[in-house]
Amino acid sequence: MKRKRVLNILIAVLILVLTLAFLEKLLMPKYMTEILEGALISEYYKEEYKEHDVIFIGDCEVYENFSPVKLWEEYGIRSFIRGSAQQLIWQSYYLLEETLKYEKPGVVVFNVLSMKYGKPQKEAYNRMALDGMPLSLSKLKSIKASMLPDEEFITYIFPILRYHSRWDELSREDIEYVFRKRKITHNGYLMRVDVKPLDTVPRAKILPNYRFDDICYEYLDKMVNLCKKNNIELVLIKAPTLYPHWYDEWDEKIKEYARENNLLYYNFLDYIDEIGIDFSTDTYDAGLHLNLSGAEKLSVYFGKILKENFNLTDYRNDDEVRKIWERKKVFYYSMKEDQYKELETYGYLKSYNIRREESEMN
Amino acid sequence: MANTDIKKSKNIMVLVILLAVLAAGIIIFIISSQPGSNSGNITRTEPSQQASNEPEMPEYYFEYNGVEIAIGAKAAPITEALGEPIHYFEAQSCAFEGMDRIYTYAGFDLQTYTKNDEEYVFSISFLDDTVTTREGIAISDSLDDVIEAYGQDYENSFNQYSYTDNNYKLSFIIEDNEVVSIEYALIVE
Repeated sequence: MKRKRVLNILIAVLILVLTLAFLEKLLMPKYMTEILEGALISEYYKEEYKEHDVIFIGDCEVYENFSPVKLWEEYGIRSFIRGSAQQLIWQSYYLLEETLKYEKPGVVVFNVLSMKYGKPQKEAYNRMALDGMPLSLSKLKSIKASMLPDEEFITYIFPILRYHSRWDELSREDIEYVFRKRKITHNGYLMRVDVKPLDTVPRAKILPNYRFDDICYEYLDKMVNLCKKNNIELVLIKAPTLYPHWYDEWDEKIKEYARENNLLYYNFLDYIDEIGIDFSTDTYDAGLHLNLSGAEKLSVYFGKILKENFNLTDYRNDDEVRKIWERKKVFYYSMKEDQYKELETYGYLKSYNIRREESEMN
Repeated sequence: MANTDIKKSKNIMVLVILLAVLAAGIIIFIISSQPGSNSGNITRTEPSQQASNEPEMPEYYFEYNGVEIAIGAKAAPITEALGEPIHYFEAQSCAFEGMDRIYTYAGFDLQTYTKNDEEYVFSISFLDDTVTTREGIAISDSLDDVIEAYGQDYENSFNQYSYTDNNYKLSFIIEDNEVVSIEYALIVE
């Protein structure tokens, strides 16, 4: 009788835990039809083949501007982008630290725009960078570094504590993707084929000072040391997007840092013509991010630099690897075709960008 | 007798399940009832938490061609009164976390942000010396002119001198004792 009572208690506890786990899954945002950027970080862990020559880390300037499939097609480089919206430098560092638990790439590419942020900016961006990571020491440290004053640590460990009141906002996507999400990126690259030409870029505001915060240098130093310790080449880049403004004073500071630490630094803003980027056709939001055409041009250009500087193996002759990337190419080109069809039918990317439809209606 | 036992255990099991689900519900309810509980759709948070919907006219505001422009005010009536801008730029921030719009008029940029589908004034930046603050300060004036107009009650960070009024501030950047930048802006911590 006593044994039965214990069993009943155990079953009750198990059901309680399962119910809470299910509710958490149900209530967490899925980022499948709106704000796809929220689903980027978690895609890496589903990747069966975690052997990459190059890992990109950083904000939208990496996941919108480089195409790993193009790098594969042109140079046989295996790459993955671990990017998230407005990824802060400490998030990039801890993401890299965590990635190195899974694999050891030959090259890590870091986009330096986030050096301008010395403080956490917004909870929504923190969530997009952190919620997709499985529990690990790196995640815990990243949470601690990222939290805004009014956020609570525990809500990152048990997201149900943060999302519990989403029950009245649940949509079809919350039900449809409760257990399994669809793949939305191409090794971390978020594809957009639409075009919104550059018209004018606002004048850059004068700043009271052009220093980067000490905390940013601290994490950049940590990144350099982590790469050195693991025999990884670190490359610093600034993507060739025109807004937000990248000041010459900032550029000088990064150049100086790269010189002092013997790192390669490419500010692609200086190579726009050489890359062949045309802001009347190669951007989907008037110069903030590149579209597929722009990302492919940049990837071809950067791939050559990577090949020349780091002697990366061309895996296109490796049957096993080629098979994996052939599957990735099928997904890439079918999404490309789907997006062009949508553009032709609706004039914009309906299924990839519901918010735009809403904003145009308003 | 055996049937009764089976029925009884089934009933207990159903009760256990119901109690467990009920407990989960109670836990959720207690959490959501916590005062100041921070929850909901984080993907639709606004760019600023400081501006109220209908701010009173602050101490420092800009006036152009008879149009009074206060930071945090609704932008629609202001942009309508100002007329067609020379340039208009909109930047959908990453992951659609708000839309920044910049309207360029003769002498100044007006930047707005979106909150609950409504546009509000985020900042006003002077572009040249054709416009002045209501207190008469323009680009290329001296730091002494600024202090004479606004007083000593400023905050100084690097070469920036700021006068704060609640959640808004008026900032002057000084280089070689000359004003090179004037901006009214919402304070974002």
